[in-house]
Amino acid sequence: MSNILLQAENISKYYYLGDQKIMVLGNVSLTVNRGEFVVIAGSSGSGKTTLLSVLSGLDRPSIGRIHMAGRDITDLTEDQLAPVRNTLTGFVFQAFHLIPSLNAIENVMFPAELKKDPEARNKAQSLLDQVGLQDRGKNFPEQLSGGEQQRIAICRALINDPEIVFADEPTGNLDSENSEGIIQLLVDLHKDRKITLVIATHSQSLASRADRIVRLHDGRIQEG
Amino acid sequence: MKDAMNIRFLIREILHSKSQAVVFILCVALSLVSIVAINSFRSDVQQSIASDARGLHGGDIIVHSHYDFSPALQQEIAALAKKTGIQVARTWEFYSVARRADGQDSLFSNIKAVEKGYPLYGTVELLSGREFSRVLQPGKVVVAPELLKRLGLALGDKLLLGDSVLEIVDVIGRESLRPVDFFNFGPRILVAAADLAQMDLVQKGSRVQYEALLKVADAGQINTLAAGLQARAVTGQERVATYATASSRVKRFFDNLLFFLSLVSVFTLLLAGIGMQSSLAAFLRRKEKSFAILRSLGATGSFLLRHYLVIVFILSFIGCAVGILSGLLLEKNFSTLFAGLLPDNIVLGGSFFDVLEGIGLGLVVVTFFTFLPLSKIKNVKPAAVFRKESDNGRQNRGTYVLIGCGIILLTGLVVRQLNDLRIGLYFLGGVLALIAVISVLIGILLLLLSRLQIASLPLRQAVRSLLRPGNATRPIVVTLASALSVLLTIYLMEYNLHATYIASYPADAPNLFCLDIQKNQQHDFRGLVGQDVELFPIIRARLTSINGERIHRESEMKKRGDSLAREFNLTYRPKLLSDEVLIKGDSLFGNVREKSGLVPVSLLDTVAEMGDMKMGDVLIFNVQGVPMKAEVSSIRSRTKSMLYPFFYFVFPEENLRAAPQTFFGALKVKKSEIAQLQNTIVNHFPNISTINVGETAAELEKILQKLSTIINFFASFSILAGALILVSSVLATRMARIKEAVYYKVLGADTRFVLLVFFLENFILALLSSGCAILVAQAGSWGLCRFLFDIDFDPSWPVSFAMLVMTVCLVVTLGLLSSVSILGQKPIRFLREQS
Ligand SMILES: Nc1ncnc2c1ncn2[C@@H]1O[C@H](COP(=O)(O)OP(=O)(O)OP(=O)(O)O)[C@@H](O)[C@H]1O
Ligand SMILES: [Mg+2]
Repeated sequence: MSNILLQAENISKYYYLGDQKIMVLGNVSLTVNRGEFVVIAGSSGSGKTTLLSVLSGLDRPSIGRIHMAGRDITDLTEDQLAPVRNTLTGFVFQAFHLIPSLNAIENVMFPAELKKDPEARNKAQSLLDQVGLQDRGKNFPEQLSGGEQQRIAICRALINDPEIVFADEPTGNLDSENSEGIIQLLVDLHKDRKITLVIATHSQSLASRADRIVRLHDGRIQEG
Repeated sequence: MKDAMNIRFLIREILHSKSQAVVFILCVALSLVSIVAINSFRSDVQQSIASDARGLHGGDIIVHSHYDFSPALQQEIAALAKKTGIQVARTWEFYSVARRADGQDSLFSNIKAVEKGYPLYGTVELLSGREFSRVLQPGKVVVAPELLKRLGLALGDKLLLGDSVLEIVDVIGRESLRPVDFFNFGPRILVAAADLAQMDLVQKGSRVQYEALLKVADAGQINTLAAGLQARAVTGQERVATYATASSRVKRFFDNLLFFLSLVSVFTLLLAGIGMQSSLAAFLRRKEKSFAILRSLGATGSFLLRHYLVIVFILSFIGCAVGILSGLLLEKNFSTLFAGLLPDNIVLGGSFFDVLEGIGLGLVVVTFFTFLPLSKIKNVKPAAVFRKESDNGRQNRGTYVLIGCGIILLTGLVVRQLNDLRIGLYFLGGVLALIAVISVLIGILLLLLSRLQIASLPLRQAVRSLLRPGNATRPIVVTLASALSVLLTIYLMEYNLHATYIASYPADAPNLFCLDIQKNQQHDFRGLVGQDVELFPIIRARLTSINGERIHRESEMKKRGDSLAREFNLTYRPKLLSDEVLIKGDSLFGNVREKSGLVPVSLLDTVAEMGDMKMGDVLIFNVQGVPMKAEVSSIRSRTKSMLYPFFYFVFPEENLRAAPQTFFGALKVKKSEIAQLQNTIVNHFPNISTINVGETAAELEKILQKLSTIINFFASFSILAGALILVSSVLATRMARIKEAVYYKVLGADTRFVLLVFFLENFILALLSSGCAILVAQAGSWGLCRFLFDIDFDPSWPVSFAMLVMTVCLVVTLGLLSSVSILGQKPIRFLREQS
């Protein structure tokens, strides 16, 4: 088993506004090893979210290739990507993105239920226990605070034991106290479960705990 | 930005929610289309009938009776006829059989004998273009073109009517006294009154409409003269009316049809109104966030309200214009839809008044259905920027007053449209009850659904989406189910009425009716057609009072349905018919005679219900001038098809044996021999009328088919309203659905899963709506058949099933169409939109 989990080769991403071609990512190459904790940093608008979504297969690069766990996922269709998203990767977003019609525990269970895991409920419950939300399982997202919602989202990202978790500004919507809690949670995960983490963030405190920091500037990786 | 109208803001707001704006416009238009069309049609029909009321009735004063005029009345008419400035023409109208001179063929026809001068008003146009009064001389007839065709005759040929031989001299083009002719089962023959005696068809007891038409030169005298005639007329038997007061069959027919179509259109209007409200509410719900932001930037509540009032006004204006124009356009083409049923002089087309009326209607409807969502705009708090504030549902007193006013306004509209306060209120009450019943039913089902432990993930997801807070599932299902249930009920009623009255005519039932058999012809008639034919005596009479209370002609005639004031056929016989059972009393006549000395009478249950008559009630009949006091001795019910001859009132023979009477014979003849037998009978007894029941039923069926097409046409508008509500809700929940689909995908669901969830969600929605509709429609139709029409009920399940399948297809297609587009796309775009 190779030690490289994620590899991006010369990826670029363009948007077209009318006839205008806007380059958001320019010739980015990046390798992430198993168990590594990588933070993508950069000022607002530098392309962090774009890079993260291309790396994770939520978006497609205009040029370049993405390999994940030894497989080229660049041209996979949405349906071919479904099992990858379900079991290989997990996502955490700044805006939480919990399913509003499901309560907390159902949100956490959902990916496990998709792959017909009979242990879905137990696993979800034990994850909730771990993040200290054992009593909030029956609450709907709108009945939870931002910090609680983000913890639920992290549990949901973890339930299928993914190899890699992508997080985009996981603390962006939270106050410093809650942010600290979330950061600690992610760091513990990385340590305890040997999960590979790729996080885009402005947070210095999060960046300081990372194994490696990749800095973006105007869509290009800043050397040094 | 404080006070002025910000035009840019207006345009941007409309363009930003184009689809909802279009749905709103369509709802406004739909609410008006059918009602404007029908109102315009109504005024055209009235125009065509009323503009020429004299031409329609044929005189300034019309005296009508089912019997030869009483001597006093006859004298008065004769005296008037001698005065200058007054012209009189008498007519006799009846059905009889016309034969070819060679006796080869015969045809049941409508014969009208007229005196010189007829028609005093209006015209009888002849195909030759000659003047009617010159052409119709004694010994001649003019006939409808159909008669020539069916008997294979030509101008100049001879026609046998009763004992007369008459020459066909012309063909009728149009009669202003008969603007429509689908009521008549037989072609028209006009003959001179002078030939009546020779024909010998008007005999004691036979069915003839006697009329005297008066033309009065001095219009101011009309009412006085009519009153004078009325004073001499036998009340309840001889009717005197002026051209202004006389009612006509044509008018009554259209009154009834338009009344029913009005009901259907008002229902469509209500549903479209609900559509307006829900699309506007959805439109505004999406705006809540931006309202809050605008308010936090300093826009006042009245700024927003003002602008939205203008937006709603603009959209409603477009909707009204579209609705009114399409309504009038539709009406212009009613000649196709109503082909064969329209008065021949009708001019279809919209008038200025129709447009005005449409605008008025639109104003009321739009106001009523939009003020609630609009009134909420002012209350959007800037704080809603931060939280999605749930509507606490509390309304202030002003809102209740507004709702109250709206309901009064709407009630006024419905009552005006139906032209009947009581029925208007019943109708609104009925609609409310229907919606209430369906709401409760849906509420229970949704509750059950939410309690269900569902193992399958897609199914659970679908149910959860349906029950998602803020989802309009309930109003959608309720409106859709209401529309479907009304539609299905209309169908089921048509189906069952048809099955009972037309299709179920049993093969062994009599198929040839013989009318007007005279007392002295009984023996010979039997000799001709067979000894075993059953002959029923018929004595024509009126019911004048029940337990001393007079039957009021005016109020009875106003009732829809059968009237107690009409002339009845009494009969006498000692026993029940084979298809009758006693439901009250131990024998037909009991011991009434011994107890009270009155004449016993047995009633059929239908007439007993009509007049709320019970055992022991005392009825007074007027048997052609002679009063007869009778006591109800039993009540009967019928077990078989409705086309079998039946009698409301049955007496013992001794009480009616002496009264003027004819006999009625019902024969069972092989189909191929009917025409031959009809011929034989009329050749022997020219006065006897024969009716080929099968043929008559087929004629009737054609008309009913036509009517049901018309009704279905208008009812289908309500389905459109339901569909619009559905589209509006699909649009309103589109964002929420896309969001969910994206989340599913991000978490690793494939296309199949997402599609399955959407499919199931819409499937359940459709199933709930049509399931409820079927339940309510079946129960309602069963009740109507059982208690109102008193006929057997056939649930006709395949049609219910077909409706269910169609609803499911429609709802699922609409629902999937709106969200399929995102399936193949990368999720990131939608995720960005969400944050
Ligand atoms: N759909 C799009 N069309 C055009 N330009 C886009 C689109 N999506 C993103 N961009 C542009 O791409 C650039 C990078 O955006 P991105 O969201 O990746 O930045 P970011 O580093 O995540 O910023 P932030 O720290 O504020 O989240 C921005 O300039 C943005 O305007
Ligand atoms: Mg970003």
